[in-house]
Amino acid sequence: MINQQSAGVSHAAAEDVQPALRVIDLKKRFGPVEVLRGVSLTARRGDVISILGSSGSGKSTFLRCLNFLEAPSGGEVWVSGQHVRMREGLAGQRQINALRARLGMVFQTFNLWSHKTVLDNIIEGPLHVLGLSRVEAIERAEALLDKVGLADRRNAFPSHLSGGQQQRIAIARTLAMEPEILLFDEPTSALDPELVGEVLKVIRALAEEGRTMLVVTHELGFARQVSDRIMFLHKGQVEEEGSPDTLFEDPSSSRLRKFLAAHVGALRS
Amino acid sequence: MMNMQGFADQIAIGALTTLQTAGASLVLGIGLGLCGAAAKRASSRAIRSFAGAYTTIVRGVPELLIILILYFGGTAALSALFGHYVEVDAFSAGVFALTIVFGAYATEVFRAAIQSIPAGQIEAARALGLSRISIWLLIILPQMWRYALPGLGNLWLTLLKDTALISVVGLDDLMRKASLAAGVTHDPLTFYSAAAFVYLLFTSISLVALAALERRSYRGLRTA
Amino acid sequence: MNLSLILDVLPLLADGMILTAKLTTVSIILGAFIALPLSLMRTSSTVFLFVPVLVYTFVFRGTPLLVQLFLVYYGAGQIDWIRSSAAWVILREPFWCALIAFSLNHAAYTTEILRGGIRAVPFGDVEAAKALGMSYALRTRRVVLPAAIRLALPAYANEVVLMLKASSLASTITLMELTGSARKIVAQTFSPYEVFISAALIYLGITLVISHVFAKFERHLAKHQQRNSQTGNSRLAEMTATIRRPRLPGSVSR
Repeated sequence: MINQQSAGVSHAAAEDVQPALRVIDLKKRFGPVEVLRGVSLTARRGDVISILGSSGSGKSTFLRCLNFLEAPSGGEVWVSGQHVRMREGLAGQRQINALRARLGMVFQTFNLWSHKTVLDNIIEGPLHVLGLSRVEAIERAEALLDKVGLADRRNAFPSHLSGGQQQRIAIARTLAMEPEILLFDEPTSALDPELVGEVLKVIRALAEEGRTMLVVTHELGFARQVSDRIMFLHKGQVEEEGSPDTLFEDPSSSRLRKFLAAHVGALRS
Repeated sequence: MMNMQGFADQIAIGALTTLQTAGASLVLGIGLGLCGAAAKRASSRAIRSFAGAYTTIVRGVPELLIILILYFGGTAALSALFGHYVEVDAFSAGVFALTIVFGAYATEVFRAAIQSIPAGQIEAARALGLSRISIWLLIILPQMWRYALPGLGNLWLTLLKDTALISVVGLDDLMRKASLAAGVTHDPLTFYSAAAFVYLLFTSISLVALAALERRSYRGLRTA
Repeated sequence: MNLSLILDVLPLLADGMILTAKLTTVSIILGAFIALPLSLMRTSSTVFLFVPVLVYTFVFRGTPLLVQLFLVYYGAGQIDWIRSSAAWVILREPFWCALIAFSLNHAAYTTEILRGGIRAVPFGDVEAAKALGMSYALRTRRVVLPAAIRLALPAYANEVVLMLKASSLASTITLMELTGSARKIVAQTFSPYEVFISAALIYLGITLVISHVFAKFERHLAKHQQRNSQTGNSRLAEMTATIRRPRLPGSVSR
């Protein structure tokens, strides 16, 4: 359920003062397992926040809870000053769909629709969710294909593309919805090492455009370069948060120190 | 509760005939299917195409027509052979026809099952110098069953229901007993429903048994 | 056996062939219309949606088509309110009885085949649609069903062949389709071999054409999505194995 926070303030004005995303005490349990034990985060417009953590730390679940691919068990999500609540029934579903259109998600496994061409994958959302005309949608898609450097592959099917190309198309598909916030769920983890660079380049360009982004990643060097802030999760809680330089140069948590040492070690070997 | 109007015994006898027909066709059909699968792997091209023609033809022609061909055709052939009219009994003709049908589908099930055995195992056996027959007995057959079981289970369910078609040429199975009772009592609804119920019962029992068999057959095999 | 008789009989079976084609085509179309919504109900997690469909497919797949046909043809007339209703005009006709029984039976199998396809659609595909804000109806129509139908195509091709063969049962309720005509000619000519083999050749011909058309269509689709359709197909094989229906031609029971 999305509500205007205060009736007196106009939408535009609210957006100016409100952070793009505010998460308060988000909790998620799967049966008896508590995956998120209260995670809070505030992202201002234009912030790039990287979320680090070892597997099982809950970082992917956190991202998936933000657009309700998993229903959070507790806590609050505010998008541009609007409180999002999980509600039962059709009306609730409709509002979640509206929210999802505003939060763009890029998956680890791309999840391109194999029965549609590259172009059809990109225009599907604008055509049927945003209600754009075909001409407008194709125009938008072509500009995005240019941006991710795959204009010549518009008529290809996903299975004929490399993993890196598929992920760039998936990013274009997400951008075509013109989302306010981009969520990246380990966007390069399913890629062969030599394909990681081309995808990171696209994401870096997006960061430089001033987009609001949350990035779950294992690419530490990349995270340090592009992020305004870094959040380190451990067992469903924020273990440490701060600027990239502070976290990488002078981590206060011993767990983060261990994590960094292990990953830098892995990179060197 | 349905009023069986004194025909309960007849229905039960018919049900037994159905099971006997299906059971006999199952055993013979598995034999035929194994031969078919072996023929499809044969080195002789003639044998391979013969097996191919068999499965293609049988699977492309309605079961009812196959039954009619073998029943009436069989009668005509035997009559010509002996020089006087020979009546083929419905049970033999039925089992024969269902065996031919089951064998064709079973051939494909076994062929696919054999293909599921990692080729390396058969190569390894060849490398050890095992004969073709030894490879079949020691490597292929023991492993093939678990891959073939789901397919065979399906064929069994089909077979159970296909026995009803034999009633058309006069086999006193469940279906025909129900038809006879329906004709005498002018109450088809009751007796065809009763028949449907018995078939459903057989199907259900088969499903439970097959599930148990499959669980057994997968012991010791790691699955994804 | 008289080979020239086989050829002589072929034209006599033309009318029967047309009726067979009619019965098969209409049953397939009606069956598809029934199966499409039922398969969505079948994959639903809501009990009162999937349980009725489960019962329906279980009963129709668990009993012989012949019993279903006789129940409609002989049994329906026994129910007073059907006899006195307008539906009796239809249920009196063997043609319509055959169509009803065939469509319901075919729909039951098709529902389970489509369910297999729907369950084999990669979860990520559905999630990507959700993440774009697509509603259930939209993502079902645009993403799930198109992918599911592709995945279900090989099994569906078999089911169509089975429907063609099953239409021969119409001869048991006096319809002069291909098998019925053949039986009639056999009764007149006393040449069972030749006449039945003629009919068999026609069935075989139609079967091969159907299989060929579907195979061509599958190849056409596969050209675009080799890698993905492969993973999808192996997933479907897994699914069909669990619902106990292998994808071997015609091994689906009737």
